Amino acid sequence: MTRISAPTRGTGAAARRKGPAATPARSRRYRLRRLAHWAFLLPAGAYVLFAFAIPVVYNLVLSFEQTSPATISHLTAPFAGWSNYTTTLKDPTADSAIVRTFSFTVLSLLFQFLIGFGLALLFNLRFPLRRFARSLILVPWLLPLLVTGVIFKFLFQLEAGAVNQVLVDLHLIHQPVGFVLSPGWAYVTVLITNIWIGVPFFTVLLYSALQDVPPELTEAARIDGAGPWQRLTRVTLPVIRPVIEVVFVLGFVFTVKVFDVVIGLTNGGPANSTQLIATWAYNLSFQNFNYGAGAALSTVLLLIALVAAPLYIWLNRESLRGDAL
Amino acid sequence: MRKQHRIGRQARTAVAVAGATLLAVTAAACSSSSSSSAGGSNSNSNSNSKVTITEFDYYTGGANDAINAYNAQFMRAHPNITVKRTAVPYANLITKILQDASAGDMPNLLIIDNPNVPEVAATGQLVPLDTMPGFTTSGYTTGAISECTYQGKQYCYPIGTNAVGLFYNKAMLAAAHVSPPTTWAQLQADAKAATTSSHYGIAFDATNDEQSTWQLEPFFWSNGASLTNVSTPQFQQALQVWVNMVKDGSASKSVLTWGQDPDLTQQFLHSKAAMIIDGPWIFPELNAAGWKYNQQYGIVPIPVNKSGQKVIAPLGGETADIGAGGSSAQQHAAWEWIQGLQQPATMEHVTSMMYYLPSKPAVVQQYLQGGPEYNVFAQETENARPRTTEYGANYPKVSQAIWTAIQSAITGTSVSSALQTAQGTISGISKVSG
Repeated sequence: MTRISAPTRGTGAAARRKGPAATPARSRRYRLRRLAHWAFLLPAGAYVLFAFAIPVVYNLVLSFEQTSPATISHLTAPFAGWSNYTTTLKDPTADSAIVRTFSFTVLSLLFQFLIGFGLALLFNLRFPLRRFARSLILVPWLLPLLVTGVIFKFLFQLEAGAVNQVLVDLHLIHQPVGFVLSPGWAYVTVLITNIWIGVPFFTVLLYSALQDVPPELTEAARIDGAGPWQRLTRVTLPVIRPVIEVVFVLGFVFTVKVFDVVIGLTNGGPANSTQLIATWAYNLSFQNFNYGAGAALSTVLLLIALVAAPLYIWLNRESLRGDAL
Repeated sequence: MRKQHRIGRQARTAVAVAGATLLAVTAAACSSSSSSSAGGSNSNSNSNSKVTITEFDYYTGGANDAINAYNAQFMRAHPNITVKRTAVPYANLITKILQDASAGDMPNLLIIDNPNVPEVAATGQLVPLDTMPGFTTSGYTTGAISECTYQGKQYCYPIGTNAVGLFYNKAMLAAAHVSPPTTWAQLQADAKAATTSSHYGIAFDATNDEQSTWQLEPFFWSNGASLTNVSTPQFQQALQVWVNMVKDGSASKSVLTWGQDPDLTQQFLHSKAAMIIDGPWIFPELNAAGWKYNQQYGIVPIPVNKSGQKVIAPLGGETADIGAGGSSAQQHAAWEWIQGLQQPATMEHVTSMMYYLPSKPAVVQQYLQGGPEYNVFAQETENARPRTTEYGANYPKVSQAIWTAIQSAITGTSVSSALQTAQGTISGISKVSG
């Protein structure tokens, strides 16, 4: 990136410096070129405006409006001030959904990283059928999330559920457990499912990072007498640290807005015990038809996700500056 | 150092590609769900020339066949009218209609579930039928008319009506030496007696959606409770019956995830439950499995707290509504379509294909001669109460507070505190006149 753009910037600066003294033809060519730059930006700009700016701004506007079915056929509804935010955030279900989303995200990322990194280390070794196993690991990622939710619902069901069958046959439990039928277990079940879905993401990216660790570094460490654990913590982890950071940031964004899995597996139940911010906002908007409240909660979700954006850019800038050296 | 960074960049590229792929997949998923054709843009004012009307519904199975048959019959009788039908999944229909309403582009004919009528009418995008030539409310059950009323105007005719009853497996009750229950005490005793190691005594729907509120309504309405005050002894007693049956093992905890159809139907047909609460829409599945009324199974009304109480069930079934926005020729054609369905012979034929009950008592009498299995539902729909009478367009919010209380109580919260929480929510919901 920087290597390609740097020379362009250089000629641009040179042209600007020569500007006043240059011939009219030259400056016209320069202006045309500037124009062309902007023209090339236009499609991307229009796309960003259409696909990101409009929905976000509309959501923001909606969150300050007093909406009802009667206002739906008008472009605007009466101004509501902060009332959508105050009533939504006072609602105990919304509060617990926000807290739950945080714990859910932290636990998901932790386990996804531990399992994903473990698998990445495994695939970094040479063993038969390695390629085949590595492609199998992608399966959770390829399934539509809603399908995954429904499949896990069948696996975890009380009567004739595969998980209960296996656990009973192994004598680990005596009675089948109602995994999605009690608030505590339902949370754990959704968490397990989401971890299963997220592991391939971590595995694939960490594996590709491991592939890039220069063998001579580990080789040198080995000669210096470092054990496997030291080689991992002193050589491998510091080398792939930038990737780990970025993967965590992206993982955070994907997890904090989890929706489909919950809808397919528990639909937020029982008794709203698995509602996350995204599912509860959907519920407010499209089951209660309280668009204002749903939009307010979506804005909260957006703000939380936005925390990740500057972090991502900051992490990227660090390594980009390193590139230029 | 340098090499290390170049390496880092490759991995970062992988991250970026992966991220972009995910984004693309998400975007594709979003766009495919929102793209579907909107109807009602054909403007044709001359009634003699060809008119095309659009019709939206969520029918599947028998109802799907019924509506196709009626559309064909209607188009044969009206060669100048073409009906373009669009079937949308149940969960999407109301969202789709509200989207169309916000764009001012409603279909000409809408077939929507009766509790949704007030909120769609509130958008101002439905044509009041009172002004249509030949409109009458006489000859219909009271519930059928009041479910179509919003702020003093009539917005629809019911396509057909239905209600829930108690289906029982004759052999299983006989083996337990009990007769079909009529009171709550008998229901709980029977359910317990009919529970064995291989099957439960009863199954009902306590899922986190409208279905569970709808199944509990006959219990608390018959006991004198109402939607406006759920924190009353009458309401608590009703919910307690359900909680007791799960607690003592007569019903599976899975009732929290079993929908009316196909889940409860499958439990019943696979002899996993001696009794289920369900409605006439399951007849096609019972027939397909070779189960016959009065041989393998029987039906009784939903039991009441004390004998002598009248069963008040919620009124079920869809309604036919006309969307505003079409030309007058299209609105007229849509009205013709609805009127055609009100003819006794057509009404009987179409509702029988749907396994629903006709909304005119006179037609019901005719209907029952061919189908004694509908007796219980016919009795219940006579006194059935529309769900939207008190809260109108806000009924879905009230219903959600109730089904959340049902799930809390079944998963361990005490009935009184679960209902107190629900009451807290309901007190903040305004009554939008029905």
